[in-house]
Amino acid sequence: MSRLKTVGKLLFFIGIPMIPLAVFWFFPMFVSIWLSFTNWDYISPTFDYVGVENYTTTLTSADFYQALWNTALFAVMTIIPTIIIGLLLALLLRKGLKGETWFRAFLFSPWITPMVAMSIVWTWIYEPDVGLMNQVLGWFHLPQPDWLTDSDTAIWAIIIVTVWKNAGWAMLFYSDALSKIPNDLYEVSHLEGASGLQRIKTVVLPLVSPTTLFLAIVSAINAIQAYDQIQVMTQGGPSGSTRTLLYLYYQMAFEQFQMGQATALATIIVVFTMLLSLIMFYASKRWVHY
Amino acid sequence: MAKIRMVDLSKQYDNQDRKTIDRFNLNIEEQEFVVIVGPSGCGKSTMLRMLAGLESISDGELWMNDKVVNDIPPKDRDIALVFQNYALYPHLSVFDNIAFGLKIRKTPKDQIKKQVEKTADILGLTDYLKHKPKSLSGGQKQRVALGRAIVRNANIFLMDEPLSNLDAKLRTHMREEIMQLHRRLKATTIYVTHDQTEAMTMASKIVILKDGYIQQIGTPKEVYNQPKNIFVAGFIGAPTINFLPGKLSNEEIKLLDGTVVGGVQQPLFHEGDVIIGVRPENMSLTSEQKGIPMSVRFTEMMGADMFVHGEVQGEKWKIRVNPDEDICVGETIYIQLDANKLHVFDPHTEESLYPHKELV
Repeated sequence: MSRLKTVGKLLFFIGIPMIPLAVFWFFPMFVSIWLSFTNWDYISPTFDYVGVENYTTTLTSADFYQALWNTALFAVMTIIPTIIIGLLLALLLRKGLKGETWFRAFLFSPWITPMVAMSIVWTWIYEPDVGLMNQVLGWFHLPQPDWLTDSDTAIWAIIIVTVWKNAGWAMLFYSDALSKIPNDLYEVSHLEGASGLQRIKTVVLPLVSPTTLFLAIVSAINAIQAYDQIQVMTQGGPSGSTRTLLYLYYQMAFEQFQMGQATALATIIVVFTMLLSLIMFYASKRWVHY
Repeated sequence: MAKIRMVDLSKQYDNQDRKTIDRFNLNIEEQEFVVIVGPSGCGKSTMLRMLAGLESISDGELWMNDKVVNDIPPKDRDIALVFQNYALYPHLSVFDNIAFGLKIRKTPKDQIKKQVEKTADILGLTDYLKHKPKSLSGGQKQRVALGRAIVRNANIFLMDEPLSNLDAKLRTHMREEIMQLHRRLKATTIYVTHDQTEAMTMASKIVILKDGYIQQIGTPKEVYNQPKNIFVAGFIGAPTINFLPGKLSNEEIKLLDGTVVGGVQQPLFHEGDVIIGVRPENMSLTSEQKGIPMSVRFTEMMGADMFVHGEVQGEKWKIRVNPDEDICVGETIYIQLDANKLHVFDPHTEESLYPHKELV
């Protein structure tokens, strides 16, 4: 009897929080997986089952591979600089400079500013003739690309904005991780005569590695889900050069109304995200020290 | 082997008015085991960190062998430092923790292996070389920290309260191990602690520090038997020494009521008020007619000894007695002081009235 009571209690306490999760997450997910086997066009009341056709079409289309490449490039090129710049800023600010708090707040401010607003400002900065970016490049006699309208540079423009936004956020996590390293450990390496670089390699990097893993996974998921900056700055163009998987999904679903194919793509994105997280998690066993 | 000489060594932090260390003078001979002891905040750790090169020296000269090392970086000072909190790298195995300094110094791999294995053997860590610090006990961690110091064959060992984080039993055990290690390696050792027991049991020379000033330098026996001032007398010895105001006249030590309790050990030519100091073991129980009355507040049974705490003329006193004595709380007992073991201090300067030879 008491056992039954315990089970009842458990179900009650776990069940209630599960309701919103089930309604707004599990249910839509299953519906979208189910939709990925249909040819629903988002508007008509009718649809047919098409089997795995949506998946085969997606996996054989050139657009998909272009978007996959863009996503991979975007992810790698935002994660690595975000982590490096974040750590360097945190190391710099650890020295206790004057006005450090202000500097920290200043660096962190991009993270709390809405991406849409920032993207609009950055469109002005990237304006080829009068934008700030090319003005500055001009002073140093560097090439002044067309940024958002050139298919070679558009993705880099978006990467720069994203890194600029994320670096302050990464810095905050690293600052916390660095503050938890006992001073003794630096002193030991100082006594043994380790150089600054050796100290970073032998003390700092291993001891902040859990933070690095966390930032890498979250940044990877953010990169896969990047949408605002692309929507405001390039809408996936020019000629698909900034179209990531998620943006391709958006275009398929809400511009071309191919809901079946779009949900198939969404399912593929979810599987990718899971695989990526798993790989990072297992790979991390080699270099993350808790 | 290494000699150390500190000449008027001072340390003043920018944000403080008072010097943390003020004109510290000390000579340390080869192979000596010197313990710097004092209450927290007396500057003893700062002193050690100055020796290590982790703190800059504000004033004075620090000599190691025949060189002034004030501006020599820590790695070139031939020292090894053992920290209170072990300071082990959590991500490295015991082997790599011990090998850390050698690796930084780019020692050849086979030599590292040889030296680490030898060190692990000395410290009984051979079976743990592959373990990470978090799977070790406190004593083992401290041994790894010692290993990191030993492996480099440094000639000077600096130890900053290395046993403070261990429980009482382990502390006694590690104390012994450190002493054995010192006998074996013969490195000049400077050991900082707030624990007078560690100082008394380990040191060949004790330096007692208070508020950045040296109070007394001497062997354990000297600082115990001939404390230079009231602070040293009270700091060294457990349970602590008892004090009572008294008088000195005609080279006789008297209580305020005129009772003669002893004579001076050498002529002092001093008349007037003094503070009498007497250790708990330099007293005995006696009959009502001959003794000073003491009202008993509580007793501590230690097994081999019993300590009786009580009040004598308004001062809190402790006395060591035979554990077989039957003494009850609230009772009045009568005590007699060992006439030849009394300390007398000037009540104003708090210095001992007995002259001291100055050890530096």
